[in-house]
Amino acid sequence: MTKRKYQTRLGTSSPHDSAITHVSGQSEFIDDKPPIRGELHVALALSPYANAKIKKIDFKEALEQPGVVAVLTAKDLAANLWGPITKDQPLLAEDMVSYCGEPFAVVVAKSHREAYQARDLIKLEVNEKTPVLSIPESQKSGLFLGESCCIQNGDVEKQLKQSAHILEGTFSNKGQEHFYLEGQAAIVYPGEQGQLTVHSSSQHPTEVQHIVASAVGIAFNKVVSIVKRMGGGFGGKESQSSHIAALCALAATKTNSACRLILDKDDDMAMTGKRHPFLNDYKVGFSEDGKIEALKVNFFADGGAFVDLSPAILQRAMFHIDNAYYLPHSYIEGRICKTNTAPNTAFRGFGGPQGAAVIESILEDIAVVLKKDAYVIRRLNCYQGTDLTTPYGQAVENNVLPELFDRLGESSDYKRRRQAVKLHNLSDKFTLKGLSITACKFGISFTSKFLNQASAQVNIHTDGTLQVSTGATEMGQGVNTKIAGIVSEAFGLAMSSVILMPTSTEKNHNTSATAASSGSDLNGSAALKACNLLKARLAKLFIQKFETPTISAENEYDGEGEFPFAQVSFKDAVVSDGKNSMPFVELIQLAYMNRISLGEYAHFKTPKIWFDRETGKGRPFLYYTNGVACSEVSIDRFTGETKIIRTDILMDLGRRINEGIDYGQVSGAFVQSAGWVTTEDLYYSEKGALISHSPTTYKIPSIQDLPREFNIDFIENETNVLNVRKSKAVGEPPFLLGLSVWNAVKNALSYVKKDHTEVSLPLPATAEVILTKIDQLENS
Amino acid sequence: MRDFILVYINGERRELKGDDVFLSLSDFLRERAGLSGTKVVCSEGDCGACTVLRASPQQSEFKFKSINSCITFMYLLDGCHLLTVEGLLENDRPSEIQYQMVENNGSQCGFCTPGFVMALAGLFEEKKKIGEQQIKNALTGNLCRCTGYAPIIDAGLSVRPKEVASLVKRYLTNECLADLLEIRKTPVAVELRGVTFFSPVSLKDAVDWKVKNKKAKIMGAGTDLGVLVNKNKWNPTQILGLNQIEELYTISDSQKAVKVGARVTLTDLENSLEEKIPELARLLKIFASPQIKNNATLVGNIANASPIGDTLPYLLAIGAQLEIQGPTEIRIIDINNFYTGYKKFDLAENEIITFIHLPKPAEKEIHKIYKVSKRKDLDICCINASFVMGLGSQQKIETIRVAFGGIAATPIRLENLESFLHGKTFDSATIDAAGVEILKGLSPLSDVRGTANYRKLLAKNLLRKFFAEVSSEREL
Repeated sequence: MTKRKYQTRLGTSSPHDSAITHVSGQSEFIDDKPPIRGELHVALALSPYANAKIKKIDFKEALEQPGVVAVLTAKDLAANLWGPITKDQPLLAEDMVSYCGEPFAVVVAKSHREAYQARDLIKLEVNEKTPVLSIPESQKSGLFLGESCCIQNGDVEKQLKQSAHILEGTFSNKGQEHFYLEGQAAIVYPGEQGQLTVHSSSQHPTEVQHIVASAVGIAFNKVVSIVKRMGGGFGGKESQSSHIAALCALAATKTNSACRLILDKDDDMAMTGKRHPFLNDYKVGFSEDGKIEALKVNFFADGGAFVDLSPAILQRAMFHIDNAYYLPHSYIEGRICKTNTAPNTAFRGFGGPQGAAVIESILEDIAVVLKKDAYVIRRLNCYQGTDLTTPYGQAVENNVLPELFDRLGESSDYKRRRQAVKLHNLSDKFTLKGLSITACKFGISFTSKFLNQASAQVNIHTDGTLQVSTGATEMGQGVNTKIAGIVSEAFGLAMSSVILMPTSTEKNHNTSATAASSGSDLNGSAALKACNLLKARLAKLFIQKFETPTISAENEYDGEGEFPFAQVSFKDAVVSDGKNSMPFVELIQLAYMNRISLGEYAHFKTPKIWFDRETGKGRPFLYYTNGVACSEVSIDRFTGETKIIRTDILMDLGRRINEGIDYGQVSGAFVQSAGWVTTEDLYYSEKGALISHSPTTYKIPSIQDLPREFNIDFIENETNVLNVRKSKAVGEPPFLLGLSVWNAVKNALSYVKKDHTEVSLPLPATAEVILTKIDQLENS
Repeated sequence: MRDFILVYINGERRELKGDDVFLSLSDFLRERAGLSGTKVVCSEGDCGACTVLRASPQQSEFKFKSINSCITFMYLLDGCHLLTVEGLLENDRPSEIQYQMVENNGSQCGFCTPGFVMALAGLFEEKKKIGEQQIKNALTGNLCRCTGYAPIIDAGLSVRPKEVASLVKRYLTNECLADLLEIRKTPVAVELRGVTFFSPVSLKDAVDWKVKNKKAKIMGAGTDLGVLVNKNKWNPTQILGLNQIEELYTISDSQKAVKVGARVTLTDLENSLEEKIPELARLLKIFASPQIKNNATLVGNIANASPIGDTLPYLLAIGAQLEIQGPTEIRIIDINNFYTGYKKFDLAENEIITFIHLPKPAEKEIHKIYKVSKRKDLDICCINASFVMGLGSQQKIETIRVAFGGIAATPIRLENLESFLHGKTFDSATIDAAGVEILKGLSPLSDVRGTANYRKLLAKNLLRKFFAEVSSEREL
């Protein structure tokens, strides 16, 4: 057998709690639910225009088609406007359409095919207007969403006058399609007295509940919103799944039938927002030895047609301009541009990658200007010593960045490979090679403080098994498996004794989206809190039982009182205090017979965090997750095509809850990011229609595209006492490490000319971008 | 004549009639057979979530091979045994491949997982000793957005060959084979609400039917036309299937050429060409995905007539010959004379392309094929090119044929460039001059796969790359 390059280091960690049903095709996704009697199918009519005033929506012909039950428009909605932050987006376009792919009518039919065929017959009559399709066009027209915001420290202008070197430039990144495999989907079952049960593929069941209720004009308590699992989310189902569920609920309410809305890939890609494109201006001052002294950045994010989550995403981009590097003087300003494209939305990293991309690119340029190695420059600038305060005033605690840089430098054999790359590029006429180490320091917590709360219900049954419900939603990231790990560890039980139940707003309400990498932190903490309340009660009962072995018929144990319960341990399904012990299940039965509650609901809120928007200062994050990556690429000089030859990743995930799952999160995030920075290229027509709306034209990485050699490793770090089990969140941080691939490309291009020049490069670096750049450099 | 089709699904025999016959395989599985383990994502054969296995007694081996169930239709699967993820469980326990996917965290959200499991199952049906590259090749047609693939490769490498129970032994019994072979002797005609499917057992019947049914469209594997049906862009009314015509499954070999039947799959072709036409076999390795190649045909690629069809520039450069069966006679046409405009070609309504003759490389002739796309594998190219060259003494170019795709409405031979190069010395001065020559009169399109400028740059650079590779005897 070939030597295994991927060390999964499974250790004792359990596989994903749905793994068995996933591999045997038995896991139920939304569209796998068997149809119930009279169930109807829903299709959406999407605007072919990016910017137009609606004159008429003519659906007469569509309504006459066989199988068609109803065609609904904005007039049928109780409330049309929605939005996760600002209610500015219509569920169905009414007076005007603002982007290609915006839904303006809902077709309800007896079959999926009939619904889709009929929707193609709906005529949208409009007066077309010139669409605004890019950040420069929106800047020129003065079209923005909200006001600009700012973070600053030190005195940038003064320092820029003093620095030995100044670099100025613009940096642009394109968007990225989530490409979750399961498209947006919802099924709504009308119930008694106007109640609705909503099943959707959503990261945010509570928001689904609220938007559904508002759309059809009912109270929140009439909606139960349930999420069993998603076939991938990546942020794309944080806000925008509510839109889909609301339109499905409209159909269900108006037809009084169960309704199913499954977006096909083309519609999904046309209708839903993407990662935000950015176009940023920067000016950096640095010393002779390469230390950044001052950085000024003006971020412009393309928000698309509506606000969605853009302000929070822009803010996180601004929070991550420093990435892993100390900025003694900085001025960071940001603004959201309004364009006639789908409202851009959350996507793994949530602005963080866009912020970090700017400074990593700058550091690559500083190295070229000073004719130094970029690794040396990055190591010099990373948070270390007393340089530990971020531009927004938060101290980097328990800093591991220097250690990560040093260890990866060694383990990746960086110095030797740097020499090899130099030599290769001097002599080889076929390929160009590039090598780069980049880092990440990702802030963990929602930057909106109120979102940092969660709840969990832990129920122990009389056979000693547990059901746990939290507000976390499972999208493949393994949050349920991690919570099951936390709960089973707390009670000293096998993983098989704990089952995580579908997420539902009737059990856990007012929940936050499963987002910001915080699902396990928040919901795991809430679950652990519930476990500890139960354990305290059970431990007291245990002591009561052994200290009061006989009890009268009149009295019973109550599990209350001042007992030294902390000495009671729960291990290997046995409860013990060192002297006495009994099986866990017997203690549970004893509790039941003595009428002691075996269920606990706990609410958790993240401590310590705050941020003042006015001053731009605070402690927005509970802690940081860190990592470094070293990537080497090889570029075909004739075509610009790029291969990733090798990537080494070193992450700090604290004390990991589940090693196999964390490994998969790192590997998956990295490859997804490698796609963003290379082949994933959203392409629009001149009129603003997305042309690359399916995998035929939109190329996410395939199995042949992962690094030829791919090493992932972790440091042991037990300092993160602020978080559950001293662990660290993993979902988004490794996404930032894909920037090592982009910087390796940039590094390779710096060798095209003999005098080693800095190369401005947009993101993604597609084969076309790269070849064009090589051609320019060779002929300049 | 039969008015039904016969398939086996996970060992169960099913005769299908009526509208079941016209459903896509994935719709049939999910909506009619209650087998919702098979997932649909893109409906265009580009993601592999819908992968199932098919065994057809007419292919070179009666074995299970992966195909995309979303872009094939039940009528094209008559006489096949189909296997879905539900059929892999062994007494309700995971098979070895499923077990290793669990143990290695090869599955996260689970939506792509059944497709990966099936593609891996197909791989282990074919080979027992599996290395990393073979796993990657077998999974080229499966997209996963969660795992970054590394855990899936781990799963594949962890599979213990001894624990893999043969699906052929389990499902492809002699009774099943006899049943399928017997049923294939009877032609099929199914009609439903104005849509007709006809599958004859002889070429003559096929041509006769095509003469009578002017709108008839031949569906080979449907890997291209199936996409149009799924996207509501085309609704066929008269469908001719060639699945039951034995002679079209043959590959025969003469001294100068390989003759390939219209129903030969690209996988079978790739395997048979490795020695005979190695450059084409090499191209087929990065052509599409296993799921497509296990179903699609070379003649399908030709008749689809895309200006960026992967095989076409090479077929132009080697001067492949098409054998066309008409109502009364057979004619042979050079593929260089076949294309007349965008998606237009010299084929009458009553004609059928039956065979393609692929000339073998002459001794010492240099053959090179290039394909440039956004993503190396399973991507439609931006441009592609083929060079066939014979060098004489002192590096004199004695014969040269160059063809490009992606720079015009059809794949084209660059005859001006050829005459420019002919007789010149094969050196960098010639190639530099040829680089200027190639751009004359070239006005490619800008589209989702690349701008006109990029295409021009590539055209020039592929010529340079050809020279660099040939003169250094190195391949990139």
